[in-house]
Amino acid sequence: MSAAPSTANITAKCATRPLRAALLGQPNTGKTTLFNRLCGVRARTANLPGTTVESRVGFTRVQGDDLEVMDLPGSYGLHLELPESKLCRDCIEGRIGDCAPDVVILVADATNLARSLRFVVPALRRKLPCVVAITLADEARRKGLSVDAIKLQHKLGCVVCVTSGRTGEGVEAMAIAALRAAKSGFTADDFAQRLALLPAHESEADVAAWSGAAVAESVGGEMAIRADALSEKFDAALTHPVSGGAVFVMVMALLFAAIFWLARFPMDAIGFIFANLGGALHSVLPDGALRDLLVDGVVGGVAGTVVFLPQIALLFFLLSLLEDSGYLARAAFAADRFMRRFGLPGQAFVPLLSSHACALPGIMSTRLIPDPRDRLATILVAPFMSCTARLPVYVLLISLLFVGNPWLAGVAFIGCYATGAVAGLLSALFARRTILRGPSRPMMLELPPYRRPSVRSALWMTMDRSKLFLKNAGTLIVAICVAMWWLSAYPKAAPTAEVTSMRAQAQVLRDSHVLNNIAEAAVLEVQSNALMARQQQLESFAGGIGKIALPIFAPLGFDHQLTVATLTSFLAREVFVSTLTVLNSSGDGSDKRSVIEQLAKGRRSDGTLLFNIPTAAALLVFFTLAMQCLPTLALVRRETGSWKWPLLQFVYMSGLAWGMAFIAHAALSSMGAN
Amino acid sequence: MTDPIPQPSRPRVPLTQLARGQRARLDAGCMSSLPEHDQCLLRAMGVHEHCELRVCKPGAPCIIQVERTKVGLSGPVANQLFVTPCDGTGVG
Repeated sequence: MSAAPSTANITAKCATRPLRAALLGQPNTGKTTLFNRLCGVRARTANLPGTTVESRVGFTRVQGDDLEVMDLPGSYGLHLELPESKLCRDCIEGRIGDCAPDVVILVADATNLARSLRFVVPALRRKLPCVVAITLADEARRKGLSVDAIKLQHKLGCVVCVTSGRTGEGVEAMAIAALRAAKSGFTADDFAQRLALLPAHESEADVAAWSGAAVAESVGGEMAIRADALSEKFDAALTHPVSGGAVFVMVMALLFAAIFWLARFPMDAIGFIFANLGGALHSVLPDGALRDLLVDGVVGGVAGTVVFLPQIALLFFLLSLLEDSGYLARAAFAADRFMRRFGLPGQAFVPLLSSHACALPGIMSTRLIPDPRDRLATILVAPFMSCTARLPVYVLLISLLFVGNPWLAGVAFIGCYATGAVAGLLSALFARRTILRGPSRPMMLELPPYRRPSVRSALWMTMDRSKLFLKNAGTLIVAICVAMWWLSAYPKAAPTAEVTSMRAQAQVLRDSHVLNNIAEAAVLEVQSNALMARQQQLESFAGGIGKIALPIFAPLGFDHQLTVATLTSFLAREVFVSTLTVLNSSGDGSDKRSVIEQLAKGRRSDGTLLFNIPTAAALLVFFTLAMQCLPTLALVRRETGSWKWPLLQFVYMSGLAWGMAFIAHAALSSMGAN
Repeated sequence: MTDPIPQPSRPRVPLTQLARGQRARLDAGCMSSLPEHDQCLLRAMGVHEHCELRVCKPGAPCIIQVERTKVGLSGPVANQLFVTPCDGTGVG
């Protein structure tokens, strides 16, 4: 138990940071909807203060004061030995970093109050200022239930507010109560008074009996079990091996179709904006290193990443709607039968699905898997799922491989996702039969009620994730692009004899002042610039690095440019296209062709096309299977508590990727594809 | 004075034998065959000894309702849970 902050301590804290509230509650109690209503656009996904633990943190303005709000992960009980329970316990008891809350907002579901109180009571027995937020008040009313906050307040010994995150009812009053509780501190007398009201012992039987009595006194309406025939029919259909599987496949197909088709329009718009921005900067800025840096390094590099923002935003939005609707829990059961064949539980389905957006939230959500072996197997294979960072590479390579054939391109897209998923599942089976051998734990999962998903909540979640992606693009990716630009721009190569001769010829033609000659001079200049750019690539630092690592990647058909771009993508996959754009820049920033058009025409130092069919296919296979994400490796280290697992993951995935890419390249080359 | 008529003890059956819509009470000690952490998780979700439950979907997964919470249980878990059907409901 932690000591409660005294009023003096709180005053001192307020001088350096706003007062802090932690939202604590069970899953599916409307906690996150309440958080979104409280903080709205002022929320972000971030590490808990002073820690590396990710949580959503936001601010709300209450009566002129800022209140920081942390949305802790949903936990079924503070006493459980599950990672999210331990995290909540450690956080409210001030055992991790500097994130001890000044007040705890305990979230209780009005439609399921007895169970919620069994969670709330043990938390109230900790010496912390608390406010109880009864959520889903609107839903409870529809079910004929009403909660008497005053009666419950007298039972619990702390302020009780009836709220609805969806409608906003009671949310402001709850924030005011939380701020007051945080400001006024919590004395030993306050705690003693509260303890006197609560059950004498913390045993499950005592707490259950006490909670039942509290509900009987304070809730109006019928709390007994009620059958809901329609909901049960849906449950039966969605968890059935045949109909559930069919619905699952259909939902996934619609999800991916929406991502690829709906996102096309904003993607085109973003590509157009960046192309024009590069052109405008090129025409405004004087010739020199600064112009090259801004046009080729920053704008060119960032464009290659930001263009994929619409797809990422759509994926998060749709996943959030699906989760909110209650479907994902049913889908986990539909998936269980299938996943068990690969040694994984049905709960692994959501983390693996989330990994299609990004492996980081996917790996974080493996905390819901109770069995440590199942959890580790899921963590190890999650990066096989095709995350959105792979999309730029898929789009580029598939566009190059299937020019003018959108149907085959679509099939290839599905093939990439399927390859990643199959490799992940087979690797999981391999791991569960070798290094993670042991019995599987059977599945048990709460099935939340079907609800109309909150579009507002999904939008906020999407904005939050998009901001995180843009922040990444604006920091890490810009830094890598600038570094790559410098490595490829220096040392400056001297013009070759051929380039000098072409430039002299162009000058003579221009000086003749004959219209046809001037046009010919322009063509000669473009050709000499392209030759010079290739020479620059070869003699630059980046060219040197590429030549050193080339023996590893040459069997896959890579040249030094592709080798450098692949090496940088081990930091973050999405950097591949932007690095290649920077390396392949002719130095003529006025080029308004799309990234794909530019790279399709890209040349190697020997003048041959950068991408031939076997090389593009080998790259596609390599990127589908390789482990190329530093943040993921760091997260796996944190989640598994050892460097052994991320190292094994890196070596296994990258080795497999190289082997499969080699086979693809050799097979296509032997068939004469070019 | 006559002896009271002995009440037949109610049958104790695995959860999987109940039909849709049947109500039952979870038997004391029936969760002991499950690992300790699974027992704790089930209790935290509201599935504790003596609780009244209703079968929403029999089979695998077995979906039960306890209070207002629906819990999905895989076949192996449901097989290990023994219940006593409530009055007026028989074994399906």
